Amino acid sequence: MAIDVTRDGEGLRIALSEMLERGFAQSRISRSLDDSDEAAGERMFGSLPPFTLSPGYYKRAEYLLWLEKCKSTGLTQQMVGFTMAEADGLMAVAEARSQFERNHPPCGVCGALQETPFATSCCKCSTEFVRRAA
Amino acid sequence: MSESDLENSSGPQKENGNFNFIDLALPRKIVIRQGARCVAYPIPPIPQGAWFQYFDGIVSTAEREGNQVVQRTDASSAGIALVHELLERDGGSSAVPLAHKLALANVLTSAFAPGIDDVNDVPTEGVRLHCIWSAGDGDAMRRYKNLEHVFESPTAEQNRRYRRDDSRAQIIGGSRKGTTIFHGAQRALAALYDELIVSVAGYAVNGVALEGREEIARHMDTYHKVAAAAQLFAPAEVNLEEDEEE
Repeated sequence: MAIDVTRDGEGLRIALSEMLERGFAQSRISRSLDDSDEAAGERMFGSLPPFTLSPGYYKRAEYLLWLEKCKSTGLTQQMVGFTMAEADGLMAVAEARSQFERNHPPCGVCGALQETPFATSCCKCSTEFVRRAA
Repeated sequence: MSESDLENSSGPQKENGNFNFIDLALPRKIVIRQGARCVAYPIPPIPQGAWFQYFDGIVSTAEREGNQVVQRTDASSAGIALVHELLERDGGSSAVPLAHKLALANVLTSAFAPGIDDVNDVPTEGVRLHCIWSAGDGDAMRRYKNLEHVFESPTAEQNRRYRRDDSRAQIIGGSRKGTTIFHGAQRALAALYDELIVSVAGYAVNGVALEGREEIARHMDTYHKVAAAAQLFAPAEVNLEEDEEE
């Protein structure tokens, strides 16, 4: 049976999560590339988190991320006739971004996203994180 | 309209440098070489519905093979179907060899936007297309260059309509290992062309230069509409200098 990508909310959420994770890994690698040789760069980019779904999910996810950016800059006010699939897609973006932010909380001092929620010090400014008991 | 009138307009020209234009109202004569002789096929102007059937018939797929994404596009079946329909209207296509149908389809879908290096160096605010259209008085097919389409800038809403349609897809065989079938955005591109076109150069209808949004939208070949409008949403070419090989 054929899957309509625009209506597969769970598939889109997975694709969006993978794209956000890959973007995070890419920016981290790009920052460290200045000190590396070309071969090291290729090895590092080869170790990026994989995409696991059929390619159509990622093209749709790109569109939804673009739409999210339009929304955040107020451009969607010029847009009319949103479909239900687009509204559901934007919900999937919100869910994926929320999950990403839980996985990579920002440093309270410099704002840098951390590799895990369990980091004890900031990966950028080395600020020590203090954990409060629940 | 005389050729001298048209020579003053910017851009369009035949490959040999002399001026020429495409008359959209006239049937084309597509000439195919078969051994020592040539076979000429008259092709009437192609209605938009026939082009949409052609676009719907293009199979564009992508699937994951390890870490690679393999993309495939098959337009040949859709091209043969289009030619078959056009020739049927004109009295039957059963006697036409498959190789001729493929060649005819190639000519009908020959419009493309050239790279920077292949554009005649005339400043333009529009999109340029090259294509093979029709044979002239002789039996030689000609390449037309620098057919110009000038557009308004798309609005955010129009950009969204294109991107939305371009990202539509179905998956066959499961979400992880399945094959993506892209539906394409040609219908959206044709509609956006009609909304955004300002002027064209190199096209005429019954010998009169094609002007005015409504007239252009009514008469322009839909394949040319799609090829030109697609350039509005395509990334610009970067100025890349290759290292010389050692």
